[in-house]
Amino acid sequence: MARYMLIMRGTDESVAKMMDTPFEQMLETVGRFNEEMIRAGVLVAAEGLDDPSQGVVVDFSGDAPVVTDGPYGETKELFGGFYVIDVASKEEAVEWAKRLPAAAGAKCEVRRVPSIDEFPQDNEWVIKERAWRERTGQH
Amino acid sequence: MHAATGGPPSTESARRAVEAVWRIESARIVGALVRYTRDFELAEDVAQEAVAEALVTWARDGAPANPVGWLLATARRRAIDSFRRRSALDERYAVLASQLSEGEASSGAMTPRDRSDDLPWDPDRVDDDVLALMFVACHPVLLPEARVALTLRAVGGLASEEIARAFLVPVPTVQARITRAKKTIAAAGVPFELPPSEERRERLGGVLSVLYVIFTEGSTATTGDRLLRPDLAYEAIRLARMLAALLPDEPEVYGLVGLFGPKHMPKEVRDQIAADVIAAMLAVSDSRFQGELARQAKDAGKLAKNFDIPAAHRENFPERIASALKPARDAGLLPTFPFGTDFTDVEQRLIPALQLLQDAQQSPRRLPGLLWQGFTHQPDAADRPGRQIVCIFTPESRG
Repeated sequence: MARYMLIMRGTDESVAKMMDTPFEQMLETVGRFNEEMIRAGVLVAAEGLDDPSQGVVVDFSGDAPVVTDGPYGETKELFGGFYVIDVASKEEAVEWAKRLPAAAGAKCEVRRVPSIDEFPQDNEWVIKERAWRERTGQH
Repeated sequence: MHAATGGPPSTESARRAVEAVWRIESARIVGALVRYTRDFELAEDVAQEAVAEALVTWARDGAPANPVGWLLATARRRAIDSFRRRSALDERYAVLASQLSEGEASSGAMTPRDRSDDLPWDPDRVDDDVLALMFVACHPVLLPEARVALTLRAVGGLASEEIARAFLVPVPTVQARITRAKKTIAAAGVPFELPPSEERRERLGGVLSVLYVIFTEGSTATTGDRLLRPDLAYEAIRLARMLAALLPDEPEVYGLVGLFGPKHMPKEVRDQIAADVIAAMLAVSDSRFQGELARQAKDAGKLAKNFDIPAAHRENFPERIASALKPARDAGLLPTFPFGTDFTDVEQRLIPALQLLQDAQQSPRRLPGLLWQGFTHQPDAADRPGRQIVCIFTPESRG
């Protein structure tokens, strides 16, 4: 058992495609997919992000963090949302990723989410975080 | 397209790809096949055959673009082959029979419905199929260990080898258990359907207890190499989540999922949290009982032996609390019943009045005054129901 994050990366092409899709239809497609994951007992969390132009970027290149509006100008693939799934193997995570209702041009990065079990269990911060995770009903 | 991780097709990549798809789809594939063939045993067998075929074919050609469709189509073909074989046997038998008895009806073999649609399964039925599969695998005609094995195999998609490793029993034992279970289901004529409503609750309890057994086996396993053993606790959680999604109105299923939560934690974390909770509860407990409660918690290993209740929390006596609260109570800041009460409004008015009367009886000088007040005071409308309850005569009743 391992958790994987499916990181949705949109490109200009996929974002344009998505904008062309009627909202109702998009809700239906994404909703069906989410429902599939819920029924398979694998979905842990999922969030989608707001318009990147509404976000800000805090840049740590200099001595002090610099805050600028909107996404990085040069970034071609924008992080648009994620799923966290609880599956038996990387292959199963990839199999789910392949089923994503993603628009052409979009990409999905599949990354393992290490469990707190993998950190030194005698570290006081790990113990504290573990207790917090349990209190709040997380993994 | 190759197996999930890319690279040229190989036995290993095929195995991983088949495993990934099978884990996600086995319940729906087997469920759809049982509905299609109406034969649990055959459905399970042809599904396993399709998996075996996939291991060979995908290793040679790479995983197909639609792996689920491939598995389902292959299993269905195998099922049809099997029907043909049976009806051939039946027909031969039928020919013999007709020669002997002159024109008896032939072949009782079922033929599968002709399904030319490309849908791998009927989306309107798939939920019911998976649910029915769970109920059949956990059917009361089966022995408990057979229910566990069959659920892991048919619903969870685990191979016999994996189940054997998980329970530390020989593979042939698991295989025999599953085979016997399938024969029992066929012999008992267990229908592939949701249990009728009058049995539903009890049968659901049966399914939940199977999941619970799988879970406890997984979370208490102390022997064997954990790395080699499939994570049974995870399987149980996954199956319980599936069940919760299929039966969103059954609180018991959520209860089970909730039960898995804290129990799934490693023991030391569980104990740490238990100790925190106990310490917090001791801090607000009545100090007359704190010592005994702390001793019991320590004896049970739930509280550190050297734990001391902080001095600030060692004087939780009723008198001290009452005196601490008195100013607030006198100022009318506290409700009479801080945690709510079942007394009606009328009764709540009566209680302080009766208290007053009782106190007055202790002091002979106050009693006549109170009586006099009672005779002269004109009761208002709000007093009347209270007076009726205690049968106090009212000024009107004197006349």
